[in-house]
Amino acid sequence: MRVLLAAVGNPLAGDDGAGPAVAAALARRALPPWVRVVDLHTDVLALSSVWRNEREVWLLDAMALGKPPGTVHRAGHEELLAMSREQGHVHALSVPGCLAWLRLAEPRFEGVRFRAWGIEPASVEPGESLSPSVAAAVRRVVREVAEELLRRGGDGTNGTPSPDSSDP
Amino acid sequence: MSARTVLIPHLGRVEGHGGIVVRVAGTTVTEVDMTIHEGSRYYEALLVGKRYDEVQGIISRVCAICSASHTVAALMALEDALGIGVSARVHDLRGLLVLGSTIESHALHVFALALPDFLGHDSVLSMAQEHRELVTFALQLKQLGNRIQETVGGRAVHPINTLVGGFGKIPSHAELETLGHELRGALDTLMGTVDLVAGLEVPGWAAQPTVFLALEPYEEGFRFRGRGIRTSRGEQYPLERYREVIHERAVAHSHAKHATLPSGESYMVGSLARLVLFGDRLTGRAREAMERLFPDAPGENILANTHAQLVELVHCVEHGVELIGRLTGMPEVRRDLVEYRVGAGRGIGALEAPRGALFHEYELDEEGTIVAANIITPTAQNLANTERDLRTAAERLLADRPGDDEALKLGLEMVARAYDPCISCSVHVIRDER
Repeated sequence: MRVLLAAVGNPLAGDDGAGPAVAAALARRALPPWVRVVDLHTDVLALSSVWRNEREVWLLDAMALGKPPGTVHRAGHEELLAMSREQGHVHALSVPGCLAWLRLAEPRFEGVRFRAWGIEPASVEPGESLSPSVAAAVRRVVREVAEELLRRGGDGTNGTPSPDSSDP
Repeated sequence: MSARTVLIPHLGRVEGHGGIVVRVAGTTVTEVDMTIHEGSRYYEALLVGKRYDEVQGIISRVCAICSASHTVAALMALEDALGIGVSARVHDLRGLLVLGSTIESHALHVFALALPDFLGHDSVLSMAQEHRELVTFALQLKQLGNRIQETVGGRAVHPINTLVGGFGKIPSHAELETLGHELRGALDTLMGTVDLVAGLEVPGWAAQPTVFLALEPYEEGFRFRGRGIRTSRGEQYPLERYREVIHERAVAHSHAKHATLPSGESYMVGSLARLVLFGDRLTGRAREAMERLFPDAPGENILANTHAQLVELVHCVEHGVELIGRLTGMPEVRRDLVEYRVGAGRGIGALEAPRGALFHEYELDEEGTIVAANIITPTAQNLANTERDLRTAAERLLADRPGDDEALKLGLEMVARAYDPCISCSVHVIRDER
């Protein structure tokens, strides 16, 4: 496997379910054989248990960074690891904090390249449905990730990662 | 000194989010509250109308960390409602699953959330500069808890193999023995951590008389599944009377209900409560750990809950090895599911989740559809006591260091973290802009 798509979030907590919604939609598509989809719920550290030597881990998450709901945040490897653990986030230890801990404690993660798509939530109150702006963002991210995988083609080693950016 | 508000908008190192608001006039605390939303009412409503065999798939998604505890409590309640008795193998495997979940949860809380406070670091990552081996071991221990859940429950995060009446797939003896080997391998390092923590001073500014509540173990021993309710005041109740014992009430300042005893007193559930009430049942190195960490017996200082969790980690490792020995002494089978008839009924399941007593109750109709559900989580039970301890801590910290809001904030965070609130389970986020 080359790419692990890892959803983070609680689908019973409103827009915190954005990442799992993206992953579920992608899992329904015919993905290349070198892609695997997993659901971490809110335990990013469970990556250690579900990772099967994939070279890249793409996290699909909700990210509360103070932008308008539905904003799609994109972070490449360096940017993701450099994000402060204090940066607004919907989960326990922040994603960057968890990744740093994984890389510190488990040398096998040192060569893994991480990147993330995060969707700005409108509400993380208990509930199963996504707010309209977040649902629309989920569709955008599904399309974008699927296109990125398609661009890779072959064994998944080709293609250039998208630049880091956010869009409303 | 003028009136002011000290706001901790979220507890950054606690599962989910939560906030603490403290209003102060001079050196007097006028108000303390954790600003949270109740989630369990939503989960109960979500379950009504679902079939009994859909419950565990839904309830395990409440929280990643507590999914095994919710799953086992729900299965116990459903089996109680349907009059199902499970085999000794299923009983022990579920016990192992709960131990795995407790190892995962306590390892995360003790090492990554609480210990940095005691060792003067602002995070587990900065703690790594001084205690790299400890930080590495913490992750390994947490992942061992995950692996136990994956082996027994079929998945690392949400158990899928746990069914009403038993298990769809029983782990092989070889898989169980591998886990036993790993558990035994963790024990010495864990005891080394006990020595480290025993040398740390526990601040006394949060200590005060506290009522503790825990489930009476189903057998003689320190166990997480219970058959009755006990308090540190000597009260004993059968499980069936839990609604009479635990009074949930709405409070004006919070979206979450607060729990009290019939007397109106708040109480604490969790590791410290279990040690206060049943610590004398610990054996082996867990007993050694308790004597080392609580030379004068577990007391009434919530900040020592982290120490109690460490004792329980030792117990979980030792008891896990014991359970594996028992399971591998049984004939190897591929599955263990009893046959049963679906019908109307009402049942209760209760166990000690990592953070304290957890209650599930379901009422089913003739077709096995859920017509009523009641879930009381440990964090919801601890809220009233948490606020009480926050107030006491704030008053003492203000008296000792008036005007030092940073010390006050850190102190309040330490108290809230000591309770190890699983806000994903019982409550949810708040962005308090006051």
